[in-house]
This record gives sequence, structure tokens and C-alpha cells, in this order.
Amino acid sequence: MKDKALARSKAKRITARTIVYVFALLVAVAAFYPFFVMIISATHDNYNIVAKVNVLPGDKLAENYARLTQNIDLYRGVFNSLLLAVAGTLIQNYFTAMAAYAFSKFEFKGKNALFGVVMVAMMLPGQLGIIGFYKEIQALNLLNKYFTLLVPSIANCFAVFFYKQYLDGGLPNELLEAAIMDGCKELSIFHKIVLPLMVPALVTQGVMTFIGSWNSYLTPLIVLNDKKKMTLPLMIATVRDSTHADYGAQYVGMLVSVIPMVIVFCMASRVIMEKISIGAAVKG
Amino acid sequence: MNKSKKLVAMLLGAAMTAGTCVAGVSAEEAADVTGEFTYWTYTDSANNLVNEFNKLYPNVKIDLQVFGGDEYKTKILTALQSGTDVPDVFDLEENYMYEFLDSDLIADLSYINVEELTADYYDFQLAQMKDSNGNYKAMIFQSSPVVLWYLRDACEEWLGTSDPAEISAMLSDWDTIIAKGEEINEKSGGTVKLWPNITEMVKIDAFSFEPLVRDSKLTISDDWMGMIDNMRKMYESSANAELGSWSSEWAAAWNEGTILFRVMPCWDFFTDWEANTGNVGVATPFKASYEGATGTCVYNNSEKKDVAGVFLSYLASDEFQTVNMESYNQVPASKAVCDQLSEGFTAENFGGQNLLATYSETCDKIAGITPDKYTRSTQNLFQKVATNGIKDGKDNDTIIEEFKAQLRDQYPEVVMD
Amino acid sequence: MNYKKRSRYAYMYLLPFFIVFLIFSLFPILYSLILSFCDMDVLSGKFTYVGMRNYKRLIESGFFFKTIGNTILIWLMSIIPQLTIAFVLSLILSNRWFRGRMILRNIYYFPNLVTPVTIGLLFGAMFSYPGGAINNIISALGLEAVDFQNNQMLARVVIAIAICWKNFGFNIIYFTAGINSIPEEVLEAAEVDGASSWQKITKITIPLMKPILIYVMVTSIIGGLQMFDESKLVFTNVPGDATTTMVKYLYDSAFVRFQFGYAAAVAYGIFVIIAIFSVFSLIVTKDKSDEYGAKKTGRRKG
Repeated sequence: MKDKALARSKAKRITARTIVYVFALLVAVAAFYPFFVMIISATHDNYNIVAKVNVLPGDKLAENYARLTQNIDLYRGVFNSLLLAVAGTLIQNYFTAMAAYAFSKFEFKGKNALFGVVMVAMMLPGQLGIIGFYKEIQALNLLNKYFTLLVPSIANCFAVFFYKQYLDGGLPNELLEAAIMDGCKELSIFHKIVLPLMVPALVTQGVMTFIGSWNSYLTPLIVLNDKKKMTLPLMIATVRDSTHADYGAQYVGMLVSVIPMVIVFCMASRVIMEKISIGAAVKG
Repeated sequence: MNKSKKLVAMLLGAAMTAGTCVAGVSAEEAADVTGEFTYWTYTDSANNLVNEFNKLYPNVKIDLQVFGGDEYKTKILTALQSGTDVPDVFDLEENYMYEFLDSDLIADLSYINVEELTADYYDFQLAQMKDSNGNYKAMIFQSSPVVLWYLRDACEEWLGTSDPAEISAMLSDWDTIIAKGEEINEKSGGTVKLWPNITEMVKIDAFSFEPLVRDSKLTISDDWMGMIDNMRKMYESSANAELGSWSSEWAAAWNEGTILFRVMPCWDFFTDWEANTGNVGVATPFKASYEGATGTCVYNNSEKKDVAGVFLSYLASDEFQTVNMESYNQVPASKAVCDQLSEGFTAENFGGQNLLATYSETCDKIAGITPDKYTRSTQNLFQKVATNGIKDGKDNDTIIEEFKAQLRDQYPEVVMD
Repeated sequence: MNYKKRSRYAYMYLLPFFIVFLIFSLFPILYSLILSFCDMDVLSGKFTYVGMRNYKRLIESGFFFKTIGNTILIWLMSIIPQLTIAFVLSLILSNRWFRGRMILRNIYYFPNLVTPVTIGLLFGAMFSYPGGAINNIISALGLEAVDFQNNQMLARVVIAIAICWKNFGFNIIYFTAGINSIPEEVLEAAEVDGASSWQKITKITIPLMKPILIYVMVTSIIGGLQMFDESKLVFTNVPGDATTTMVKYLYDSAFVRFQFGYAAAVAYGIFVIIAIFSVFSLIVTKDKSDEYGAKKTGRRKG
């Protein structure tokens, strides 16, 4: 009797898990298919890209690549983009985590008002800000400088909001109280306790920052005037204008630009998935 | 991207007779010109211009910056507004050019005797280079006329000819086109359609009509009303396939010969050259238009206007336009150059057709109307509203009301009756 | 804890962020605000004060209100399946017995790496009529091909699918961060107490990841209502402009028609709409414990 019930519950579990696997795999196929088409398209000519949905690779990769790189220094673009993305990710997440820590774990005058400003800034569509931004950086003599692409990125309200929410839920106050009791200096509490416990969040948001920076087009376009400083998306865009787009060359460019992102993401997702045990830290 | 690259493929194997260059400037004179300037553009084919220019003027250094993508206009706009780091020479694309041209920040090209330089240009090109006060503000050096693309074997089968002149003559107005299309549809048992969709009718018609808005005043002439009627007739007729332009079905049907015509400029990437090399033809439509012009402008406050002027003069020269056709397959803006190059010209990919002769004939037909900022956008709006209205079975009055309502929302300053 | 002494440090932590924020974010925002009361000459950039005219035009423009409706419809159709799928998958992927969760999570995120231009081309082609991939499937099932682009609601559905497809992986990442922030011990304790999987999800996982859920919800409102790329790129001409969103209208006003003053007014109009939705959602989800940060009650259980 007991065996039967056990067998039944085992069978039930296997069915449930099969359903889960099938669902997860179906979504994966749907997610991967267009990505796959994008890669395949890099090997086709313009007619095939526009007129057909391609599943098999074509033989035009070399031609497309040659057209893409005819007038641009692709690897310089990769280098520049990488530099900007790495530096931007580091400084943005360091300073936004700091601000979020203040919002989450401190009581101070004007806290709600300041946080309200952060929220309002997120709700305004940013498309038009570029006009005022340009006038400002031109007045401050910051045109054509990487500084202009890196430092303003600190003001990422979404990141502050995310870290604040993460700290609200994931960092117990007891831990901080204990640290203060032990006589920890304020900054070393942040560096030695808060930041390490935020690693999964930092990596999560860091990946978003990295990808956002890697793909960013409009701000670098407006800020940079020098060919040597151009980033990858700006270079790829030179094979495209509003009336006639060279899709074949564009897809090769996308392929070049997507590979580093896939690598970064796959590496990061290992860390994101790690479950760190805060509870143990509290008890310990 | 580079129109030339697409044309390279199209004109592959084209035998070209080298026209004798009419050099306005001798090599010695040119070598004496020194200087440098910055040049911004959105298309990487500008590298070709700069390279050719430097062959003749080795001592002029051009700092060329290509800013690709849709937002080039934002880049140029912010730079001009702030007045620092403004390029000396910059390209503007037709769909926003007329919004910019009236500005004092763009130099009046009379300082380089532009009228003399462009004396041999097609009329429509001269009209396109002007601002709303009739001053020449932008230099244009190549043409992109809109033509009817067809497959030779399909037209042989259904129209009995693949000769561009005979086809043009056969398709002399909408009633004839619709009648012919219905006949073909019947003969083929409903499998072959002559016309792709009603939107493409606008590409043929609208450029020869009086623009809808002039001096901020709306006038809908009978031509426009007639166009809606024709579009509706086409829509209800079996001549029409109604496959959306640039869609995969549309491209495939044309390449298989089940749609006989499509209306496209001289650049194109909807042809399956592997299947149809030598089988393609283009014919002049009964009314003509162009698509996607590029204007090269000089910044009025530039300290390098002189050497920039040398560059623009070079772009207008017969010499450059000849090279631009022979090396990069761009149709000249100068009628004299185009006609001269077209003598004995054949394109193998197009079944040995004299493409340049067809393009020149089309360019001659394009009405010389100077656009303003409303011209292209109101035309597009009209096309959109008419197409959707006809599909919805609305009558002309409703369509016009809808058009006016949308126009009022987009440009409230436009005066309407 | 000495409150006064601690709060001094708060300002120190906030300082770098707010200096940059004031200079580089707030300035453009205020600039746009001034711009919304002016007309701007396209090339010279000169302002002409016009008072409330741009706002008056906005309020009288039926078209703007139509784009609000379009946006909300498309947003609802994309956000509900998007968050549901993402949440379910995050839970699935957090199970240790699930093999291949690493690779699947990576694949789920891939759509977010595809550029908007590609999404436009792909979805336009997939849902084209009558020969697109989806219509081929429909025809194979013996049904009649569907003209998605020329049907207002179906065109919106396609845009919603594109948005959902693009963003669900993004939400999975944040949900996972939330799930992983729940201490292992809490779940283990529940298991010892004999809680079922369903009870664990509803009684522990969801309440404990509430801050992250609020983050995802609020950013989905803010980001979702600012949707633009898909609207611009998937279908070029939909009857009645059924897929024109608020930000598309803003973009067209500013960068197609070059009416920057009006576009600035539109931006503030959009802000009001987004603010209403965000504040409403925050009120609905608010409880006292949020004020003080950590969910002490939940933690003490563990």
C-alpha cells in the first residue's frame, strides 16, 4: 500500500517535471530562433535577408565582412567599446550602489524628497534630453572626450532603485548593527560587508550596464567627433542610412558585437545564479 | 550604405565607353590649391568622393567623418545649434534637408558660381538644390530616378515585349494599366498580377502634382483627388496584387514573375540576381519621380569656405560625375554627362539594356518642383491616409477629412480652408 | 545606533551620485521644461517664448490621447505574459533538480542582445501576409492566412509579442536576483515544517522578494510605457496608426517634424501618465515594512 502511494507520487513528479522541461525548452526555442536567424543572416546577401527567412547558412559571409570593414577599423571599435563598457560598468555600479546603500540603510533629512527626484527622473522620456545635454557639454568643453561618456553614466537612477530594493530585501540591519558595535569604520562597512553581500546584485546590474554601454549609439554619436574614438555601434551604423541599408554587412557587424556580450553574459550568469547565504553570515 | 556597392553588382560586366573628361581645372592649377576642412556625412560612399578629389587636388586635406544611422541628423543639428565643432562641409538627406536649408547657417552657393557649374544639370536637380527663397544652398551630384522594374521573360510572356520603350508606351496612364492588368490576370487564370500595390502608384504620380502645402497653405488640387480615384479603381481591380512594398512576398512574387512591375529607384536590393541575371529590365514610367537625394552644404561661418567651395565645384564637374558613374555606378546629376556616357552603354545584368539612356529619359521627365519641409511629409501622409481609407471602403470626403485632421495635428500652423 | 552621526555618512554616500545627477541629468530635464514653453528654431536653436501654447496643443490633440490608448493596450498585452512567463521560469530555474538551467538562462536572455533593427526585420517578416512564417503555420493548419499588419488589434498583438519576447529574459535575471537573495535557511526551515512547494512560493518566496517585485513592476511600468523601437520598426503602416506609441509620437514631433518645443510638452505629458501609473502601483503594493528597509519579520523566522 505504501509502495503504491510512493510509486504514484513518483509518477506524478515525473509527469510534472516533464511538463516543466517541455515548457522551458519551448520557450528556449522561441527565444533562440530569432537570435539564430540573426547569425545566419550574416552569411547571406541582401536579397536573401530581406526576401526570405533563412535557416541554413549562406556563403556571403566573407563578402559581407569585406564590405563592412572596407572603410572602418573594426577592431579599434571593439577596443574602444570594450574600454568604455568596462570602465563605465565599474564606476556606475560602485557609485550607484553607494547611493542606494544610503537610501536603504540610513534615515536622514530629505531622504524621501531625494528619492522622489530619482524616481521622477526615470519617468521622463529621455529622447529629448539629448538636446540640452549637448548644449551643456559643449559649454563645459567636454565634447569628444570619453569622460563625457563615462562620468554622466553614474547618474543611473534605475541602478540606484534596483540596489535599494535589493538591499531592502537582502541585507539585514542586524548585520550592520553588529559591525558598528564591533567598531567598524563607516567606509569599511560599505567595502567589506555591504559590497561583498551585494555581489549577485552587482553582477546582475553590472551586466545590464555593460550591455547598455556596449550597445549605446545616440550619446556616443552626439559626443564623439574623432574617428579614432568611435565605438563599435557607430562604426556598424556607417553601413546604414535611412533609405538604403546594407543588411548583410550590418548583420556581420551585429555578429561581431554580439559575441563579446554573449561571453560576458554567460560568465556573469554563473555568478548571478550563485546563492549566497546571508543568514549564515548573520548567525556566524 | 553605399549605393555604389549595390550598383556595382547590378552593373557588373557593363561595358562602358569612357567619356572624354572635360577637365575644368588643370593638374598644375589643382596642385596649387592647399588647405584643409572637415566633412561630415552619413554614408560611407563619401570615401570615394574624397579619394577622387584628392587625386586631382593632392594638397587639400579632408577630414572625413562618417556618422551612420538615422540619428545623423540629430548630430548635425546639435552641432549647428551650438556653433562649436561644426563641420565646414556636411551632407543632408532629402527627407529633412528642406527643414534646414532656409537657415543662414548654410551658405548660399552663389559664391562659387553655382549656376554656371550646374548649367547642364537636369531641371529637377536644380530645383532640388534650392531653398524656399530660390537660393542655391545644397550641391547635388547624382540622380536616383524612380523606374519600373520588370523581368524580361515575364513581360515577353504576358505583354509580348521586353523592350523598355514599348513597355513605357504600353503603360501610358492608369486606366490603360488597369485594363492591361485585368486582361493578364484573366489570361493567367488569376496567377499573374501586373501591379504590386496601390501605394506604389503614389511614387509615380505625386511628384508631378502641385505640392499639397505651399507657403503654409493647404490646397488639394484635382490631381490629388484623381489619384485617390485611380488608387481605388486599382484596388478594386484584379490587376492589383496588394502585396506590401519591401515585404518578402512582394520581392518573391516579382522575382518569380507573378507580379510584373514594381516601382523602385535605380538602387535596389530586392532582385534575386542569382536567378535573374540578364533577365531584368527597367522602363520609364508615364510620370517620373526620384527618391533619396543627398545634398552637400557648406557651413556659412566656416573659415574654410574657399577650399570647401573648391570641393563642391569639383563635385559638380563633368570630370567627377563621369568618374562617379564609371567607377562607382552613380547616375550623374548632369544631363550632358549622362547623355554622353549613355552612348553605346549596355548593362549585361539587364539583358544588355542601355540603362543610362532609360535613366536619362526618366530624369528629363521629373518635374522641377523645389520641395519644402512639407512636401515629402504631406505626400507620405496623404499616401498613408488614402491607402488605409480605400482599404476601409471610405469615400473621398472622409479620406480628405481624415487627412486634414492628421495634418492639423502634425503641423497646426498650416492654413486650411 | 546614533542616528545623527549615521546620517552624516548618508550624505557622503549620496554625494558623488547626486553631483553627477544634478549636472548631467537634472540640467537636461530642466532645459526640456523651459523648452516646452517655447518654440525652438531648428538650426540656430533660438528659443521664442510661447507660453502655454504647446501644452494647449497637446491637450487639444486627439492624436496624443490616441497614442496613450495604444501604448496602454500594447503594454498590458505584453507585460502580463512577460512577467508571468519570466516569474514561472525563474522559479523553475531556481530548482536544483532542473538540469541545464545555466544554459537555458543564457538562452532566455539572448533576445535582449538582439538589436532593435533586427527585431523589426524579423517580426515584420515572420508576421507578414500572406507568406510569413506564422501564416505558413496557419495555412498548414488549414486556416485562412491572417493580415496582421492591416488589423489594428492584431498589429498591436504582434508588437506586444515582440516586446514580451525581447524582455522576458531581462525580467528573469532580476527575479533570480530576488529569489537568490532569500536566505537558504528560511526555505530549509519551511521544508522542515512540512511546507508544500506551493506554500513555499506563496508564503516565503513572494513575500520575501517583494522589494525586487516592486522594482520589476515599477521599471516595467516606466520602461514599458516608454516603448518605442518596436513600434517604429516592426510595421511601417498600420491602419489608424494603431501601433503608434506615446514616445513614437514624441520622437516624430522632435526628430521628424523638428517641433522641439511641442515635443518637450509631449515629454512632460508622457511623464504625467507614467507617474500616475507608477504612483498607483506603489500605493497598491505599499506596506509599513518598506519604510524601514529590511523585512525584519521574515528574517527572524529564519
